[in-house]
Amino acid sequence: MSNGAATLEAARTAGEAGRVSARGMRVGFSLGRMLAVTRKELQSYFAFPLVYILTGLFAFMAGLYAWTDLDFFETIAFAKDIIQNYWQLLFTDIRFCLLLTLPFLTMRLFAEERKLGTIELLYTYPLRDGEILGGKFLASEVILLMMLGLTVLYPVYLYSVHRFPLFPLVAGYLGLFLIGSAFLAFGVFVSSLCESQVMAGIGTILPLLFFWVLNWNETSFQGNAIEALRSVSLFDNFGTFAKGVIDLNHVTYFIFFVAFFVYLTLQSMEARKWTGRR
Amino acid sequence: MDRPPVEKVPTRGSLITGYLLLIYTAIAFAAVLIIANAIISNHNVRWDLTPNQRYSLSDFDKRVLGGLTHPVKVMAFVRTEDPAYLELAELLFQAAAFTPQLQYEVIDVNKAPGLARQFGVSSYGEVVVESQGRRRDFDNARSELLIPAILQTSSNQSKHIYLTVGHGERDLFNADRNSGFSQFRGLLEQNNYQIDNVSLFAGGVPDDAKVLVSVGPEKDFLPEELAELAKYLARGGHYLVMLDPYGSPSLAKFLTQYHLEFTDQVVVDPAYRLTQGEILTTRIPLRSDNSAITRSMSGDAVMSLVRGIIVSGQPGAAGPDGLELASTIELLRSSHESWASGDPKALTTGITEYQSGRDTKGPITVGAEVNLAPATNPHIPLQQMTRIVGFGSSAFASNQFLEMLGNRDLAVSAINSLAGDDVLIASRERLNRGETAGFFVTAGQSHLLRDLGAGLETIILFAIATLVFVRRRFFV
Repeated sequence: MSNGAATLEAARTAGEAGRVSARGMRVGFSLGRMLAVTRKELQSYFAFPLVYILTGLFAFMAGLYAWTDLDFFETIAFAKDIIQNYWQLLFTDIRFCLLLTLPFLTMRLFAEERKLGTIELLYTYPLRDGEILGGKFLASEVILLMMLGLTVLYPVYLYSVHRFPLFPLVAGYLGLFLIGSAFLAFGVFVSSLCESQVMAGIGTILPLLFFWVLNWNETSFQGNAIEALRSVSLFDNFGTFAKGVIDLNHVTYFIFFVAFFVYLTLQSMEARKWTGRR
Repeated sequence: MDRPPVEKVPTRGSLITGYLLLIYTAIAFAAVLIIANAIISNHNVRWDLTPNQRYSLSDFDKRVLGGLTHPVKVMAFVRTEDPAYLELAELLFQAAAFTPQLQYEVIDVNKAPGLARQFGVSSYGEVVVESQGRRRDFDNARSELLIPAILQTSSNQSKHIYLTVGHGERDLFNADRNSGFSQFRGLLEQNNYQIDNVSLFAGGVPDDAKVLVSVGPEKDFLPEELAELAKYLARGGHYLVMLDPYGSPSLAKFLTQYHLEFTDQVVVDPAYRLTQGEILTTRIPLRSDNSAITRSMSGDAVMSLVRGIIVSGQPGAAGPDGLELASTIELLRSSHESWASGDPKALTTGITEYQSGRDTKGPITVGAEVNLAPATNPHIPLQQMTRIVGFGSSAFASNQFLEMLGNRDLAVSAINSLAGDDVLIASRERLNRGETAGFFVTAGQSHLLRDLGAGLETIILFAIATLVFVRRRFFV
């Protein structure tokens, strides 16, 4: 963690240049301090095998889906309409791969630091809660982008075999990024509540799975109820992106989802002031 | 937002107050976000990045919906847990938002079995479109069929097609899987055409005929019948003729007056035969961009036992009954590798070789259109001209071949074009949109994708994980 400590020292220096309140605390949000936390988090990610194992597992699952979906598409869909069939199917499957891997990325963000006691050290630095959270969240977003970057191989390779419309993929990848960010935001919030990494991981996956399957048994609900469930479902809101359509309504849904759980995480960090917990 | 140290153990009361405050602010924040999202959804903007804007109302859709003069009611009987209907529901929502003339209901068959029985709906995914007492059903809740169905029920036009009979023509009521033509008839009925037979011998072509059709006549037309046919064409009639090799020589001879010459040569194309198929059943790869008929095709035509056609005149050439050739279009042509065989045994044996002198090198025209106008007034609109569309085979419209590649579009659009129904042709283009991105990979290419994605990437990442682990375990 020496690199991380050095980075935070830089943050301290940057923080000292900032404004100081009457009680000697830093005021005002600093992008520089947040990026310093991001760098520290990324160094910590890449110093351990976990992130490589997670991205490796993700690449394995997504690669298998890319292959099996292609075979399915060729044999069942008679190779017609690649947008409707292959990419929609693949983006939906990659979404599932993200659901299975991202919670293991976020579980360590606060829970691990709390368990190791390094969170106290972090709080001693002249950093605002928002800077700490922003730095950690941004670092996990970088890993998410790295994971999605691994899947770009499929369209690149297939495009070399056969030309097809690329614009719909932009919508698909935007959707994957947004739903991945939503998973991360929820995972960071759960991690901020837990001391155990395992609990944080399970506590992230299970509710997300619950929300996924919530509207599966639609016959149990009446018309308006199912429409309401659909409108709040993380997974149903992803559907249009997979089809190659960017819908402002769904984009704002994901942004608001992320904003809400980031806000809750901030509140969770704030709560330690009056609950006395770490 | 300074972070004060916790100086004393919080009391139970202060904790409850703190948690209540936290819950209150969380709920308030959530409410603000939900309201903001609701406002945005009412002013929603969407960017459809798919080719041809598959998930948005097309210009054609807007033209049809904007032209509605009577209310149209759409009822989709679906299983709501079936995701396949979502696309239809989305299109219905957009269409209803576009015009107040459209009302729709999405009905769960499981929850409203009585209503389903009332409308005679027995299967999931059936959609009923009603307007002015007319009704049109389609299955599988297919969104691309919605707009054509609305168009058909809301249209006031009466469209009659007459089929010539008495010369061994194909039977459009025959549902035989191979030799029947019932699917072609079904498609025409879906397009709101009324289909009747006509005996040229018994009285001529009725005045309300939009199109006269001869599907694969084998025997000769009598001179009286040809005279009636000539009368119909002289008054600006529209005629679709599908003439198989060696079929109805007298009709073939009659049509030469109109500069449409059906040869006695059968098209042979080993390069474009169907996979493992015989050389007389072939894709027709060359089609005209100048005709709405061929432009609406989603793929090549597939023809079997097709004879060549020669358009024998240039615009301005004289025709019968004071007509003059106004324009010609060679709709379909076989490939450059093909030839027209004059071998009389080719048709029965399916085996022939190119023989110079006897055979004609390709491309061979197998579908053509000639339009004739009165010599005294050659600049009348196309729909008022005498129009003849000829194909060198009838099998492409049979139940066996109709669903192959572009055959369905070719058969229906030929009728729609002659009937002057350009809107319906445009609807076929809508049906086909998005379906042109055919995508084939070999097994080797598919396996390479697997090896790169699930193999190489994974191995590299696991190798790095191992190196990092070893470094931390033994060297740090």
